[in-house]
Amino acid sequence: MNRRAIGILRNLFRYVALVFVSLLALFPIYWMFSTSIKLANEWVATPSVWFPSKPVLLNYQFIFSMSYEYLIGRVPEEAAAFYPFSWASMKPIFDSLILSTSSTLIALFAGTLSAYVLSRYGRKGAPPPTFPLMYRMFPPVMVIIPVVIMYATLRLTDTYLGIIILYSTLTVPLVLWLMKSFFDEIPREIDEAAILDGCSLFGAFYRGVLPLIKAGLAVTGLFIFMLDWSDFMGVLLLGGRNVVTIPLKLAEYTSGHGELYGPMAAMGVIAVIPPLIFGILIQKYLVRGFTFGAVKA
Amino acid sequence: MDFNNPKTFSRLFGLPMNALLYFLGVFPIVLLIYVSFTDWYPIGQQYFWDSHFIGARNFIDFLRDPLFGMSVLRTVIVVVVAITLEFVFGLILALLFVDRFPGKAIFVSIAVLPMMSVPAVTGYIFRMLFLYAGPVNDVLSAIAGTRVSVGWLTTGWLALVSVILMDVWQWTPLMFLILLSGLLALPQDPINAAYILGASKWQTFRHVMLPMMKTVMLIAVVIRTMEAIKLFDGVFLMTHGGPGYSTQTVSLYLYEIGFKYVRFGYTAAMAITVLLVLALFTRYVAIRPLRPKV
Repeated sequence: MNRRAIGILRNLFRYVALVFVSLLALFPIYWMFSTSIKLANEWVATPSVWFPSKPVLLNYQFIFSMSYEYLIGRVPEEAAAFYPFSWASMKPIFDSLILSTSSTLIALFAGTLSAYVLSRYGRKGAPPPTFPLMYRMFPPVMVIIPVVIMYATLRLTDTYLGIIILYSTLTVPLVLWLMKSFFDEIPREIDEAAILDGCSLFGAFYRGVLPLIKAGLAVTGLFIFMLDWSDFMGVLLLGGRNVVTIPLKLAEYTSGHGELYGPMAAMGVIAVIPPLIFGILIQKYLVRGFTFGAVKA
Repeated sequence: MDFNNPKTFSRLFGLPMNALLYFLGVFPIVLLIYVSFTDWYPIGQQYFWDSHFIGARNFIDFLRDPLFGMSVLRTVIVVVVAITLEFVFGLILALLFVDRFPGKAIFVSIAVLPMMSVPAVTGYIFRMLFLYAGPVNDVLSAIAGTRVSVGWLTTGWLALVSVILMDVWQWTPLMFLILLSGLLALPQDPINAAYILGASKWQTFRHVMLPMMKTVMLIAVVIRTMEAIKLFDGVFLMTHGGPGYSTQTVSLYLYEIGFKYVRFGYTAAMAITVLLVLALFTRYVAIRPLRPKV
């Protein structure tokens, strides 16, 4: 065999492997999506239905039609006929948006300021660098149990404020390390030049450095948003009645009244759309995000 | 106050984050330590100051608790097996992607999709995949030629296998991305030198590339270990710790004791112990390769 043939063979092998990997990666997502457009009798069948015989949007209508209590024991086919769209059913989506957006903004604000201090002035004044890192590494249950106890005392359980504070605190260490890695890439000469030009220390930060790391801020913001959006345990332990996010609603469909696989799948599709889009947007920086800025891609 | 004094300025800028960390960091931990020495049971006594001080009884109790021991063992099994698989698959994938080829960007995007999925949703998806009448059994039937019905979620150890597979599906991409960026950042000169000196591909990989990858590999494994110990959302939606206790990890057990049986004192004692062990692990093992150079 000549060298050319080996090259072609190797490429062929590579593409076969890659197609196989892609199928493995995509199949579970495909399965959820296809279930979300299946009729009720095809959700679970033997053998299972790989391609919906008649794609329908009934499951989506179902989750947007009425509060859950009215729908117990009914299949989506009935629900769509009887119950029109209701704003109340949008609550989990609004709650997820409100909580994720405001927590992201708070964490971004607090973390960026500290990251700037840590990058330019060292440890003085900035939060101790490894303490928040450990915060991020502990299993959330252990971090949240004392918070639950405290919130029960302060009457913050099941309030937006309480959960926003929790999310901001859990994600702010990541903002600190990510933003620090972005600040470190900006030469100190920028600050020094700004100060020589008569800027205050704040001016050097606000007018000198901040405009240069807009991209970094956007990446960090999207990354933190993805994490907050994905949270399940926080609302499971601290929310429930007043605060209901998408993952919590999803879990609600499994309990008790038989499994509503179709509506769950529809809810799941809605839940994964924002992180998938944001994730692809910031794909280049995902490694940096998950490794606290230690590995730069 | 002179805001142009670097010291004042940095204090001021550090304030918001410090406020967050101290509000949810210091105070709850103090509370946790206090509660762990009491018999607080919120249904009986509404506030923690109504509870009775019982000394170290909670700690003695849970160390004797076989369910706790089993949940620790299970967590260790899941973490070790899942991380090993993720590392091997991640490395193979990374090696497939080292050099340029047409379509690389698209294949990378597809390969990393799983890690962007919401973990709770992933748990739910895998619950569907592993049903009796689910697609996994379909594929197995197609391979075997006859109908196989494996009770993935109803047999104890198979449920644990399913949980591991879920973690591997979701987090291999992260391992892959970290290792890939490590491979791409390798200096090319030693590798070329090895080829010129007549080393084979395998020899170059084993003796030149692997040693240079050490730090990145360590980071990848440490990060994933810390994340895997947290495992909760997916398992909660997939198996709920069942059947029986067979997929109950430490996080799930704490959740169960704390929120189903609301034994807060007991939960606090367990949480503190686990926190201490993890803190020591983080402090002396995990944080080393990550610690940024300040």
